[in-house]
Amino acid sequence: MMQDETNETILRVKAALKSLPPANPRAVARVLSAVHGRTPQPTPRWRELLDWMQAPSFSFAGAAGMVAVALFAGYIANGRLGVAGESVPHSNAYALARNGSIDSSVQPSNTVKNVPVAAASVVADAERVMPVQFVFDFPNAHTVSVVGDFNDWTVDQAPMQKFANGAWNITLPVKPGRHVYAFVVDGKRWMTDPRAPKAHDGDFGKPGSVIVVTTP
Amino acid sequence: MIELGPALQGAKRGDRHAFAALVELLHPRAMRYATHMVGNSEDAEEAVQDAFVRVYDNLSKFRDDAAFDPWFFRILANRCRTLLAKRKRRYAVIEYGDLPNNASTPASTSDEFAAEIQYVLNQLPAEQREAFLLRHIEDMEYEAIAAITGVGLSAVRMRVKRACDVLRSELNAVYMDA
Repeated sequence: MMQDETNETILRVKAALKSLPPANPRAVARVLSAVHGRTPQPTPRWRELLDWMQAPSFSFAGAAGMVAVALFAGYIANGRLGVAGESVPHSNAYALARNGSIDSSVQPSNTVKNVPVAAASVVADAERVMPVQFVFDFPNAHTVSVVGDFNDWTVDQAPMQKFANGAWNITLPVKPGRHVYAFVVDGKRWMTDPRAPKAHDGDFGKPGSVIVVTTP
Repeated sequence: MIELGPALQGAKRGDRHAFAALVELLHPRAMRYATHMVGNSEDAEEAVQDAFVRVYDNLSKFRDDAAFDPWFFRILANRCRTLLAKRKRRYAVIEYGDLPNNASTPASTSDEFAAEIQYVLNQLPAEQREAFLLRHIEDMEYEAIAAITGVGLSAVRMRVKRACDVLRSELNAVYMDA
């Protein structure tokens, strides 16, 4: 086997076939277009359980403790530990768990109405930030940073990291909504993102691109 | 070795930007393998695109503690095999006396050698070509290749050895003995 791996012909073959084809943004775009609108298959429950059990932090003692706590909570919820003759109805135990307050008159149907799910999610959406990854192909640049309305157009606030293939990359927290941004190459050259639509309302009269951040 | 970690983790969480970064990082390697495997870039691009769609659909099943390369290349190798089985391969055959008018400017020696290698690769049985590319071009361990191809270690070693034997004898006949 060593002969194969050190043979001059095989080494020449390896050298000839090793070179990577150039980056092909159009082909990459076709791949991304092909997956657009597809829904990834969710992680199976058994896989989540298996991953958890195989995690370095997993211990059987800890898991046994959690099972014991869960059984104990279930035991209480079923009224097994209540005073004789004052067992808590099953429906009220459910209300206690959901609302965090004791109200023995609340029935399960009312419990759901009392939780302002829609209002809570609206507030959360307005305040939460989403991780947005910016990728920019410019192998010859020495530095590239992202500027935009989300970082007050500060040139040195979001320096990008260079991948081995010459692409620059950074993931930034950005609030949902429409944003204008640009890439700054070597600290002075402002460039738009070739993958994004151009902004016609760029700040400072500089070129800009548009990104619309949405919540899942 | 390209660092896939951040893009891979983001893509697993369903971050489309991270998946885009993952595709950009892996695409050249995937195209290199697929082009050498199926023999032309058009079919290779189709196989690579199919592979990435399957990766996207099934990324949630990929375990964090597993190596990504064997998982990805198993999918890609399957797509290449399916494509080879489905389509008749198309080879460009240039006969002597059929040279184009501008043939007075010969291709570089390295281009000729690369074309000759691809020709010999195309003559190999697909399973030997696959094993050779994974071992010598993608630098994978025999154990990983066994996992990708679904055959035993000894069979993988034999396939790589036979591919090397053919490449060595065919290319030596053309270049070394000249």
